[in-house]
Amino acid sequence: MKMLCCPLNGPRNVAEFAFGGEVREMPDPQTCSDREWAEYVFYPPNHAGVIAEWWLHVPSGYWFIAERNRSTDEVIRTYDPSEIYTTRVDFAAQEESKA
Amino acid sequence: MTYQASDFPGRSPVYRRWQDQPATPVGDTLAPLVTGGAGGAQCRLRDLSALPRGGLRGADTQALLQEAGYALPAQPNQLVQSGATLIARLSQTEHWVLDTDPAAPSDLPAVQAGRRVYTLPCQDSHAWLVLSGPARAEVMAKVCGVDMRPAAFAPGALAQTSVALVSAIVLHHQLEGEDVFSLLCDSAYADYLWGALLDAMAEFDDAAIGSGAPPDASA
Repeated sequence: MKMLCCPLNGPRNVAEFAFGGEVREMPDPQTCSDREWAEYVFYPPNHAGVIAEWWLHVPSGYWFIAERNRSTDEVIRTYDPSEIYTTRVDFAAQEESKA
Repeated sequence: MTYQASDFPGRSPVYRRWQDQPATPVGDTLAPLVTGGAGGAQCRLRDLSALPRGGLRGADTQALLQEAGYALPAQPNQLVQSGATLIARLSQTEHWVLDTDPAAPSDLPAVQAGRRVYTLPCQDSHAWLVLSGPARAEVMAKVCGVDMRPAAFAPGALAQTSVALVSAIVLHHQLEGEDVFSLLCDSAYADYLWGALLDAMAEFDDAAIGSGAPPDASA
């Protein structure tokens, strides 16, 4: 059985987890070009080697980050996203110009 | 007496299992109360879905609950039992309050504007099943990957895991003087989980099964 160590719940069967994509720096959606935003949303770099990935522990609804070597499938460490994300990001809706 | 399920605005998610059995209303919810579950049974399953519960989440949750006089668990994945009330801590900030006595429901503190607290209504989203008896850890070992023997999963412990392939919260606490496992699962899966647990229990005894609110709730 494959195990993954959840920072909140401890080691669990990997069947309890769902993959959430690579951890990437988000461009500012207000100022970046459409091209940059499309790169961010649709085109992950998909490198071999050690990558930081989002994982969800489904029964507790807890998102965390795992550093995993994609060549060997070895998980180097898992940690709470608050280690990286320390401030809240608010998405202000752009005012649409009235016709 | 036998009630009609349609007479009640609220029904337990597993009420269909008990439609022809004697039942007891808890408030305006139909809670089947089935005899069985003799004292010597190795394992018993009951349905406490009609009993009151609710949750709060957010950065100010702990402060709000402490101001309201609740004793809180020190760590996530622990619970504190005070009388008939269970306070379960599911993460750094998420807490659920569950009452095993429907006559005295806990009033969750009102959330004032500006405080970083969000209510989590879990009364109808989750079913509440109770597995008790000396063989309860062996039953769980058949359907769940977490070690729930007393040495590893003492009373006061809580696990959020997969039970019979369904996401569930398992709480180890006392009910009517005995240690029991409470299982909280999505109410849409409750009927399936009820059947899966009965199947897992079948080898331990002749499946003596009780269901419903604690007997004193029927008064």
